Amino acid sequence: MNERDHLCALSLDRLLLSSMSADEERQAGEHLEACEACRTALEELRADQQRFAARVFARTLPPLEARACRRGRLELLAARLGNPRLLVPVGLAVALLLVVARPAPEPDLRIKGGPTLKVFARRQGAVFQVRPDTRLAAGDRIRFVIEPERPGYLLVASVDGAGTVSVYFPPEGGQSAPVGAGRSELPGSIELDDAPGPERLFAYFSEQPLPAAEVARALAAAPGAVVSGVKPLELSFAKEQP
Amino acid sequence: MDQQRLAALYRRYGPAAYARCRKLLRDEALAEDAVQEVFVRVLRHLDKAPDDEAALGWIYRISTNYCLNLLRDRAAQAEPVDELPEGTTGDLEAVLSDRDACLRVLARMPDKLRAPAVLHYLDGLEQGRVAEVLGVSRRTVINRLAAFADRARKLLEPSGGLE
Repeated sequence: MNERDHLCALSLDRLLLSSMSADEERQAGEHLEACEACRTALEELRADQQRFAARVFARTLPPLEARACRRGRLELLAARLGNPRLLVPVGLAVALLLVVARPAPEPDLRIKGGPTLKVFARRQGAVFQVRPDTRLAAGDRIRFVIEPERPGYLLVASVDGAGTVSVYFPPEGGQSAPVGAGRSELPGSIELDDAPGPERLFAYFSEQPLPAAEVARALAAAPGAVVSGVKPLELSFAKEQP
Repeated sequence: MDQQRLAALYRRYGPAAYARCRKLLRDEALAEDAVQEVFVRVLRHLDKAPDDEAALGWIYRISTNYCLNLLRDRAAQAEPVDELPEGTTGDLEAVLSDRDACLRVLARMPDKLRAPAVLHYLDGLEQGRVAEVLGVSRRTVINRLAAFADRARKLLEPSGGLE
């Protein structure tokens, strides 16, 4: 389809959004009267958009709003922490938002005979390993250290208390990233926020890359889900509100 | 504030983004996941979100890149090479206006050539519009479309270079 002969996809969207000028809309209307292909394309587009409005929007908006709310709180917190006069009261408030690691069978997560995952936290310059009795707070940054016995692929994701799934590694999403054998620290770190409810981390080691969207969909349906035969390592955090 | 802005953008442009994802992915469940991923990316760059009409082009760009990356990743796992149309290089635009043919060719292209090609050949946008949506110069779009066409013709030749 070419814009010279037909209405382009962007024009059809603009038409449905009523964002065309009066002149553009008149021209589009005239073209639609004479062009069956464009009328069909417009009807297909309208049907998809109606499907979104009827079946997708209301269900998917709350997780997105929850993310936006968390981002807003973190930005506010960061802004306040940047102000020394507020550092002490905010620090106290943060301390009340304790994130307590649930008792885990062992601090080094391992599927018997398989890879290991260790979690380290950084707070005010101090780095320590997260163990079952470690108390974490909002603003702490966590990093992951892995030790697979052989090369493979890794994807790390979390499910928060609102059921929102986030892919932490690889940071760009897409699919599992290749990792080599032996100990290595994953690039980047995750800042813990004050989102309520438990948060669960899942690390999928696999021989073939797993699509992030497929993992996210499986985790949203059932945290800890086996994806393409791969059972994840899990680390859960209980978050206590003051 | 972020919450309200994101909700407003999702309400206004979510339907267009979803329809775009469904058009490219051809799967309702994938499109539903994709539109949420698109707006997670919108949220990450909310401070750069343009107003009104430019927002549609911006969300078009994010949606297109997300879906093409997803298709590339899936194609890397399993893509039959014998399904490309053959011997039809005489009218490249006609061949690439077919969604399936276009996406199969796109799967074999470098990342930077994909978005301009899908916007031009599949969505019918003129080069100037493609440049606006992608935030690059028209010259860049012309060069990338020329490179895409050159590679596509070679792929679509009967020998195909796909063996």
